[in-house]
Amino acid sequence: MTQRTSVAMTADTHDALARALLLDGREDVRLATYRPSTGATRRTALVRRLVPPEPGELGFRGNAALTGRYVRRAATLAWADSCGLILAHGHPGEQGWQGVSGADRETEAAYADLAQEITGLPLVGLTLASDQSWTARHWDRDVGATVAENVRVVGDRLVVSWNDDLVPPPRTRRGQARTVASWGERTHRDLTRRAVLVVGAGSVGLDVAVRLAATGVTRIGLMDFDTVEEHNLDRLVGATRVDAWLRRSKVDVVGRLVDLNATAASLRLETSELSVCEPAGLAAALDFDVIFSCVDRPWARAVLNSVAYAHLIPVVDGGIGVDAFSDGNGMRGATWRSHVVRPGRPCLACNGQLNLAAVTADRAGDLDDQRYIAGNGGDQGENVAALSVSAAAGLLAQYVSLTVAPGGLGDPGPLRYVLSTHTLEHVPAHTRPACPVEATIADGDLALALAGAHHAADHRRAARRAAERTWDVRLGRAADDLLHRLHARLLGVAERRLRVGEVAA
Amino acid sequence: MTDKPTELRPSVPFTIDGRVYQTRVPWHPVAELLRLAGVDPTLYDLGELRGQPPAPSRFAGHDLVQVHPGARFVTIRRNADVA
Repeated sequence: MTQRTSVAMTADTHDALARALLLDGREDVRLATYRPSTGATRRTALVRRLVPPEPGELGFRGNAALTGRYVRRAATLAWADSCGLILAHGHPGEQGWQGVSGADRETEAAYADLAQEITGLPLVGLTLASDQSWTARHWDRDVGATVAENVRVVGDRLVVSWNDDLVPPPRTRRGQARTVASWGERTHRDLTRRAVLVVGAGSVGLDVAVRLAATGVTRIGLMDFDTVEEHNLDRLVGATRVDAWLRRSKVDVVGRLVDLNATAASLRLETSELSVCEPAGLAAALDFDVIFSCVDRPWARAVLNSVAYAHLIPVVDGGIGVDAFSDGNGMRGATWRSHVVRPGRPCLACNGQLNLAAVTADRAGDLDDQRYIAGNGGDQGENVAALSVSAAAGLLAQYVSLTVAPGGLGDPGPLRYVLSTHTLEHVPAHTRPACPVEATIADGDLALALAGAHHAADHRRAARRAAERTWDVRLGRAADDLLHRLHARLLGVAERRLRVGEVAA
Repeated sequence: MTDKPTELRPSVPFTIDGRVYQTRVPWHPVAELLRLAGVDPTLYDLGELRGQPPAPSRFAGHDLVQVHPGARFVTIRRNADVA
């Protein structure tokens, strides 16, 4: 059983619960349902819907109280919808992450076994303070309460309530002064605690990851199964011919750059040579609070599209499309797009960024077949480092809007920049009637699994392992690793010297 | 009765993505112009540059477009999925 826990809900669900729990400043209690979302190391309860009380199911005994009848009825409804049960309390007058009061703890403990017996899932306790901060815990049988690390509310802003004991606010450093001055200490401490995964370590993913590190984000994940090759070097800024010769994985190279550019006092960097299309890759992705989709392939995009709705993890997606004239004489134009995919916004298929027919072809391996690509007039992946940085900038700006909400405005919706005319447009995208993806909001583990065996990823990893066994690559890597270790030691010396200067100042 | 030469509309030059084309037909469907430019009408939009600064005014897929002498059109890619 994974011990790290969290809770996520849509902004609409938050509003419904807040209205019920904090009405007129009175303390109140409600039941709701949730579906589990199980990552590799974190379980998240995805709040589905409020179960309103019927007459006689609530009482008041000094504090708000509920009856066993309400619990049994709500648990039965939850079971019928393959859900677990949530017991939510309002704490009017309180601020921030709450300890659980004796009465609340007793109530939750008293009903935990009953709820688990009926639903088969642990009871989840939620507390809402007056400032709209949530607190949460899972009640597993024979374990007791496991306090959550955070509670996330997904709307045009991603609002996160933090358990400071489990995820302490990062210490800001002198090297971050200009960044902190841009949005204030409180926002910075919130933003830099969010676990951010970058899927795809190509030209856009590299820039995104490095800039997140420079911003001070303390937990960054990188996921890519691919290897650095010579034809990548005109876009993977910071990768070298040595990396291509030594058959370094892209996540190794980008991870090194992330490490070099990190400004956080302590960076937790998690690299994975999996595809998000593989079950283990998908599970790893579910451990993060926000995901950047920097992938080229439709299958991976389809998986992330599903994650955004079914698992309530906002996905910042985008990319670039460059068109050359077919006679090879000049550039027709280029477009870069950016959007946040989340409940309340059109999915990637609805906003025109994902071709569902191409997903099927990708899963079948056809997109690795040059004859198939040529026969279908497919792109050759044209890309230019001078422009891909703009695509990365578009994604990062969407992330800042989602996280910081400049001027009180959250994510702006899908944007498209047209290079030839230098115009930025809001893409007029709308949800298709009966969109199957957006219908899966908070389905969690019961959502249709798009992940599966990924032969291209297996092939790339196997080829890399084979290259690692050759003598010249082994010798080259030993020399290269030594140089990097020396550089890391030099950085350590610089860090200590600068800290001496910081104290003296 | 005397034969009278057929009056043809003079050939009108216009550009798409900066490349010059000619037409004697005043109205064209959007898809036809996109195909003329060599792009797939299901994946691209057509815009026309008018005035200064030249922000492209967009045509819907079913529109008929009047081609004026010197008209400047651009193709606008809908998706951008390389990263």
